Amino acid sequence: MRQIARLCGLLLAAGLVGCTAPAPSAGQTGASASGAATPAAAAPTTNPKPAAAAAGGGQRKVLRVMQPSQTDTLDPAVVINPWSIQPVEDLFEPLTTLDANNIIQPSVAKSWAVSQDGLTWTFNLRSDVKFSNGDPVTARDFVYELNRQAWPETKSSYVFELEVIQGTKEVESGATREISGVKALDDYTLQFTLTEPAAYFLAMTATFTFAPVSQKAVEQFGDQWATPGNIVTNGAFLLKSWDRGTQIQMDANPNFFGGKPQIDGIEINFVPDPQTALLKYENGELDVVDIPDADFQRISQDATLSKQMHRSPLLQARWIAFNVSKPPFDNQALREAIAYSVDRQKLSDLAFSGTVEAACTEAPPNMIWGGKPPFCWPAPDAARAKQKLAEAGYPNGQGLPSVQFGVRNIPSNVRAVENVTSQIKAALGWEIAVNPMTPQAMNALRKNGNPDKQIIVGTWGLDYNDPQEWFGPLYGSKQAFNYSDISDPDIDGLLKKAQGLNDQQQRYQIYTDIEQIMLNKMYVVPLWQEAANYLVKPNVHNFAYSVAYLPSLKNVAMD
Amino acid sequence: VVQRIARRVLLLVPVLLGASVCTFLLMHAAPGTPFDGDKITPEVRANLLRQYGFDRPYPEQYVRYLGSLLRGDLGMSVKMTGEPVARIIGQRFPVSLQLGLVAALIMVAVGIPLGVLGALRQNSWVDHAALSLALLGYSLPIFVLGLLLLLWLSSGLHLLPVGGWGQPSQFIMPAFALGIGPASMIARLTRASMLEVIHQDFVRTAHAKGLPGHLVVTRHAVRNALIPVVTVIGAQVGWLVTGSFIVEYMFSIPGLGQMFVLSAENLDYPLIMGLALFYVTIVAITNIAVDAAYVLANPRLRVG
Repeated sequence: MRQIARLCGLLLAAGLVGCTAPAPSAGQTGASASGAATPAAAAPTTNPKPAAAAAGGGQRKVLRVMQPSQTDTLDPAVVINPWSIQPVEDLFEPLTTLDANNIIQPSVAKSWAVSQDGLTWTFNLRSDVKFSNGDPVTARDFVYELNRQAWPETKSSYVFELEVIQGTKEVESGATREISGVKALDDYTLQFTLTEPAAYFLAMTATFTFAPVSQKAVEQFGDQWATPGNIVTNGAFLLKSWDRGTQIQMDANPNFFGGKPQIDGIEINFVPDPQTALLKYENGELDVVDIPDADFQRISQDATLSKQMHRSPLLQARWIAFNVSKPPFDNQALREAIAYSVDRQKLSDLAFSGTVEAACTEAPPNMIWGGKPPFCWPAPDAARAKQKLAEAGYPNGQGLPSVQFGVRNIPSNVRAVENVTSQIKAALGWEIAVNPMTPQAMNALRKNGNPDKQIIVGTWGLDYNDPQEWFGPLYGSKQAFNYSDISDPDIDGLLKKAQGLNDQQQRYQIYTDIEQIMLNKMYVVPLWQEAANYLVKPNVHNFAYSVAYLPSLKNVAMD
Repeated sequence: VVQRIARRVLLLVPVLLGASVCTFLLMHAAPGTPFDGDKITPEVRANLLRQYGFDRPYPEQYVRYLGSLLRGDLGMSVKMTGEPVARIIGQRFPVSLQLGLVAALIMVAVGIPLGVLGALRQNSWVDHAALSLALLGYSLPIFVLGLLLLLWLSSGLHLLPVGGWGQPSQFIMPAFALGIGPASMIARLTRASMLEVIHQDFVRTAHAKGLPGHLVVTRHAVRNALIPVVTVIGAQVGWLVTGSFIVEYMFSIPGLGQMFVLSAENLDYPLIMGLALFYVTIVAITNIAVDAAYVLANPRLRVG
């Protein structure tokens, strides 16, 4: 270690050399001064590279949107964050698609059927779908892409979502190269065999994971295949340019099998500073922009801008997760005392200035209830709270233990928990300490079965719209993301039953029943649902978020 | 002289080695891995670590890295799939360099005249005005200055586009925001140095032998007063051309500064290493260049 310290010292010294050099007091230094200035003087003549693009001149209708971070990759097999998923979804069209009401609709697949046992899914593909290079899209292109995602050298992060398909794990481990459960029966028939009945499988086919990729392009260009000039796509837009630091430009695909989009193109600008993005919008340089939290109130009161405001509640919720397997929160009456002390509307108003939705249920109401939850967690009631506290064995708060409320160190979330704990203190006189944590520390604490966990903010968001993706990982016994350490045979039984059902209404009813158990047992207390708040110029129509978290741009129109 | 510079250049090798060890240790001391998504399963994470070789013992990883570095290979970015680190630097550095050089020009063109003027009219209203301006420029944080510029010039007067990169008009605000702080520092330094020089004997001699005032100032006083200033300018240029995160963030400029922060946030190991080594090299080269200029300019330093 000492050697390292010395090396580091050397490094430091290198940085300081300029300052420690002796300063001569006389001499012909005029030369050195002008010498230092020369490169600077030359700068104005080095012309900046020509403008990548001035926004749609003339009659072209180009939708200019922004995202706060750059796109890392356009390869559907390896994308992980929204800033890459957004352009990938504009470029690639998967088997199925979601309509404006979040119902699965045909896309590349014109129809599908599932076997009686729920294990075999067969998709019939359209025969008129073409890649951007003119090649027809066939079932084999889907098979190739799914295999490629499972190959270890592809380094896909989302491959675990495919593990419900038989044989995926064998390919992931390198034992074989082809997923046994994916087969092209002929050019236009694709068949999947699953490891267990999974009604949620259909929802997965509407994601970029189930988009076709051209084997020819990948094999010809290797890891450079997903770049302008090389990329081959089948979606509503075609990649025109991608300047990794500044923007992506796309043109409408005139041959898109779903019909040419009504706009001529998209320009996705990378604008890291939300304030700068808002100024760009107000200056007419963007057509859509996220509203920074700090500007929410001002914009709500602005005569012009308030008319351009939109909100999309997202499938992302935050709630109080008690560790119900350990004292003190194995005590249901104590959990109820807390439930009666929390005013969720106040929380949303005070901690978020109204930028989020006050939750009524733990699961987002737009997931399966069309935005109208069938019941609500109890409204705040100080008298009931006190009464429950006494029932729990702590009359007037005597003997309450000291507990720590764990929360990710995101400022808005910490603010929210401070608001919640102050509400609990006002109602019950119980002082709960707030413990802001790094993502890594929080990941370790919240893990299922960790005995150090007492009470934390539960967080979850959906990648595709299916309630199984919500209730399964969060509330099945021993599931990694079952933060509350719930082990409830009733819930486990219902989850298993729902998985095998193919009737959506029946399935949704079962998930509603699970939510009812969550309330009856007071396993959790809902807090808030995240929402996207954004401004859209009045000449832009049909700009809407898909239910998960990203806007779908293929139906946008502009005046 | 050549020998002296050659020795300094050779010293770069241990400096870079030291920097690489420090960076390597620090980035691996940071908790987590590059693959810590909310939902990622342990098996998938283990496979990713294995594919990139991040599961090997640290000494082995380091030696492997050094080996490919000697072959001139900085590796591939983990997050920006298919992008070699060298290409990322090759694309981002010219942006920061252009912006930094314009800011350096502002620093010199504003700072030195302001300082000289202040010293020559010491304690007059000119001096006070110059000093106050310098103080304001020096104490105004970049993010305040940048936001004010955006509000006035873009939002208010609609003169300039709000950030972005590519057109000359997009240079103006960020270069000004970046250069005005260093310019204020140079102004104060030049003034102090000038005040010292104009009270020295050789300046009095120059006046006594009847040289016109403006010649005394330009030929004798300013030249000598700038010696310490040049050192600082050199160090500042090194800092300016490697990119400022705040300016690049505020004005949406695709430079190195943003990459630094992004690579650390993502724990993109190869990118962190490549950027750190590149940064050290640039700063060291700037310093060597300043020292070389010194030696050339000052005969007394050429001996020993």
